[in-house]
Amino acid sequence: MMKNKEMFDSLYKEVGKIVVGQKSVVEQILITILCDANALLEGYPGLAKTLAIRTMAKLMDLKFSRIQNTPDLMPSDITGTYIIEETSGKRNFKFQPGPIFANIVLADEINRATPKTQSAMLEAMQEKQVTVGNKTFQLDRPFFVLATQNPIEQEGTYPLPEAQADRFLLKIRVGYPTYDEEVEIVDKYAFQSIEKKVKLIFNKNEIMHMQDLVRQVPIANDLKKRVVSIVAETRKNPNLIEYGASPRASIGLVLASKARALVKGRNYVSKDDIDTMAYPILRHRIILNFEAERKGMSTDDAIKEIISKVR
Amino acid sequence: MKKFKKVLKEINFTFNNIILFNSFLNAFLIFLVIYIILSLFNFYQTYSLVPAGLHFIINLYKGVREKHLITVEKKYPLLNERLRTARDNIRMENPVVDSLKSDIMRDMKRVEVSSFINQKNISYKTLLSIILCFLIIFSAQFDISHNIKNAADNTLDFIYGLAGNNTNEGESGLERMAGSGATESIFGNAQIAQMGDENIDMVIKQSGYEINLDEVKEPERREFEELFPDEVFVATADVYEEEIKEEQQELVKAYFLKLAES
Repeated sequence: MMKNKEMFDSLYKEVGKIVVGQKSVVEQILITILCDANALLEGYPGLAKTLAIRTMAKLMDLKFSRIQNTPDLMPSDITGTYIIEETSGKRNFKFQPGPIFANIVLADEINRATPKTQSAMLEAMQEKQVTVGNKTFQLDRPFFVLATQNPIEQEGTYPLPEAQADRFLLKIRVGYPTYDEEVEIVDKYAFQSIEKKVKLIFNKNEIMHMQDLVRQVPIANDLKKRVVSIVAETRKNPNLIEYGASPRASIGLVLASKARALVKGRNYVSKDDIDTMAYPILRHRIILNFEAERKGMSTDDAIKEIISKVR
Repeated sequence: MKKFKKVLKEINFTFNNIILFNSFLNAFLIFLVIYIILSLFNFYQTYSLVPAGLHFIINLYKGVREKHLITVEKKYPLLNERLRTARDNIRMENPVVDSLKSDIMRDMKRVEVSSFINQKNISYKTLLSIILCFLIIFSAQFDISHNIKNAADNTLDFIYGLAGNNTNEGESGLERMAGSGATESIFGNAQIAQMGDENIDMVIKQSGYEINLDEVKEPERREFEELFPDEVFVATADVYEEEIKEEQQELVKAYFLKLAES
């Protein structure tokens, strides 16, 4: 446990060399990776979403690819397509893999892609495989999709349907840095142009081993019940929430809490893990009703109220 | 896993012992207090076993049902959530759970049983029970219950004296209090206790169910006169038929027959 903790600490340290602040974002990305899941990052432009993901890919020796989603992006642009290859006078169809064939896929501004393209990517996320023509290709493991979306400039976008948003384990909210952090960012990037090198912290096998460890982290029965109570509570508050979270949220919350415990160097899940992870787990899984929106409540406010109700 | 099971068993065993001891001590104290109170009033002292026994059973039941692991976790924040987690996953065996169990077993060495015993409280209770035991012995030795009754009588006599009430000879304060001024109304007319012309010398005491053997005498042998007093004889009512003359009897008979017919 302590060895793992040391590795995570050195990962934070290395990320910190490139990304100033955003420790919580980095931690949640790491939790997503440990849960073998996908995350949706939401934040305004210029908050180092892409930089953080790219840096983490480098630290983990993972193949990284980036897809900039646009309305004219086709599913085959992501999954890949067959091309005609001519070898020794013969013409053959050869599969040219798309950017989805990587370990970490950054789908930038996923809400700008058409629903058809979005669903092609979401299928890959869920099944960890891609079907092109009549052939199915297994994706390399580990495989994560970290999608970003911009909360502003919603014109001409295709917001993810709830059913598809549910496939992301976490919705990570990327906030603005503090004043001091911003000063540090300015110092770091306005005067220096040298790209800092980072050390390799994990390899693929270590990541997969840690993914196994996450599932082995024990959780007390009363905490398990707490998870279910929190998720069930989202379905019992019609005065606040129009649509609550599904049992997939319960599974996700337990898993994410286990991963957080491991990241924090603990060999058990604590109540704090559950309460902290409830926000990114439930954020995109609940829909506030008109009354709550009229009051100016955010989903985080609703989650806070739900957590306070569950003892 | 076996070692950890043993640790859990030990925790439960130790807590049950502490609860058993505390329940017994509390029940014993209750028994002593109620025993003293009942002895002062010279009431059935064995009845004090009932509330003490009830308290013991309820306290023990509540204590055994308590979640001991939470008590340990509260006392030792180091073990917070870990003990429960390990207990709930006792059958699970993997590197993470095993490391949790071994961590707990290591940290359990810091747990001291004495930290769960309120020594101050137990000392006070033990001291109190010793004092109460001595009180019971002394009260039996000096017949305090009898003395208290006398003292109460004297006090009431004194109070009545101050109030200017007449005190009847031979009537104790308590007796007076119980039946003061209302003897006749309670026990009815004294004439009921009359036999013939003679008043029977009978006294009904209002309070006190004890029999003083000194006052019990052989019943007085009384000689009754052979003839009953006059009052006992009842003059037979005169029957009007007897006064009707023989020659008129037929006439009367005819009269009554006529009446019956009509």
